[in-house]
Amino acid sequence: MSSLKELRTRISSVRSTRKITQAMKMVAASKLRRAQERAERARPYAAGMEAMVARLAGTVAPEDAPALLAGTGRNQACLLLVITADRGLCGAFNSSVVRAARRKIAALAEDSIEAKIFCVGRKGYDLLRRTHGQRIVGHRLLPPGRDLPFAEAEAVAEEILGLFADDGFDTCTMHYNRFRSAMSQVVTETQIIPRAAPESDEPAAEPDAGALHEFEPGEDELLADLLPRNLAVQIHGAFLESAAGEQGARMTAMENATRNAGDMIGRLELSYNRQRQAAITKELIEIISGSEAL
Amino acid sequence: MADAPLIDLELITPEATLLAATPEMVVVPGSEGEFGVLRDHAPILSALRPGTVQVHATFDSEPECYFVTGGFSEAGPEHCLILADEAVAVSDIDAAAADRAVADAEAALRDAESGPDEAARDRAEQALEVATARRAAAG
Repeated sequence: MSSLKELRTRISSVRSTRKITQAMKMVAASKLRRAQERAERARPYAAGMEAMVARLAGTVAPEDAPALLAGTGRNQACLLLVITADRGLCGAFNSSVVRAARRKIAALAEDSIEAKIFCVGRKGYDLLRRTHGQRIVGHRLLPPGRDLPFAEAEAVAEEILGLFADDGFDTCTMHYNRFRSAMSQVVTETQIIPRAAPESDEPAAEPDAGALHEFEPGEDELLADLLPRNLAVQIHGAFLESAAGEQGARMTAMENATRNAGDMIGRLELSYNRQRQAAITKELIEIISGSEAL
Repeated sequence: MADAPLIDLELITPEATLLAATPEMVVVPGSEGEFGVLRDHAPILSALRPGTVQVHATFDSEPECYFVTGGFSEAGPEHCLILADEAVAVSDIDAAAADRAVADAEAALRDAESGPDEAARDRAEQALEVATARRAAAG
């Protein structure tokens, strides 16, 4: 049994921990709101871009489609783009993405496909470096500050396209946390190279009643411009989703931590009071028995 | 006009929707030349070059101008969608900063021209094109 003094220090230390976790929760909540707004603002652009690519993709004959659209025709190497946060203290947010990536690598290995990894965010890099260090072909930290400028996604897309152009891989999948609500993030795997038709709810009504578009410049040039752009847009979308998810996860984690600290304070106080009572009773007994002996 | 033939215009950047309006005419800086979009325009999908998008609320009104650095545009009979890489209202452009950007871009291009890196040269040329167009839009 620890002494009264030890218990007192313990209680005050847990109290200050609770203050910190409470503050972190509140910060995460306000960041979450902003991150969510940003993710929502970016959606119209992504949707417009996707519609344009879909329209163009429909007009190009499959045999002269560029590799970004149709694939390289091989399937020997796969690049995993793993998007995590730079910071921890957000529950299983980072580790669940990493776990999904590891599973994917194991599955690829069974099909004897070579897996390569590109990490965005420090946490994922740190976790994967230990077990799959030799597979990592590149990594990038998120820019400090609240904003996730589009240029950042463009830079990542450029690096990936550079690898693709050098025949570094044949397919590319993106692993990240999709924001569903403040309480739940869904680990998502999206294929980005070659372009996969998005699994939309509405049936493919896209053929579009023979709306023949004019293209300026030609289809091929437009596609060559649009596809890399679309890649950057998809990556940017994933960044924003992941950023919102991170704040949501941190908020939940900190709320739990605050509650646990509260429970612990209650238990410690109970045992502190018991001991205090016991000490008083002991003293009283000593006094009474002392006076009785007289 | 009683019921003016309007088009649904949306000007969107990766970060936000900049403008959603129903003007009578939009002039778009296409890569092959500027084109005006009125109602019942034939469907077109075009890349953009750096330039200004002019939004005419009515045919004879002064246009509202937005500078775009590039991007894509899709127009149909009833709508016009502009996906800009970056866009800013012309009235918000700082003319002095635009001048400086041109000077910087020219200097960067001079540096890149002497260098062996072809990609860097292309990038510098593009940056100069954007900066020049921005200054022209501001001026």
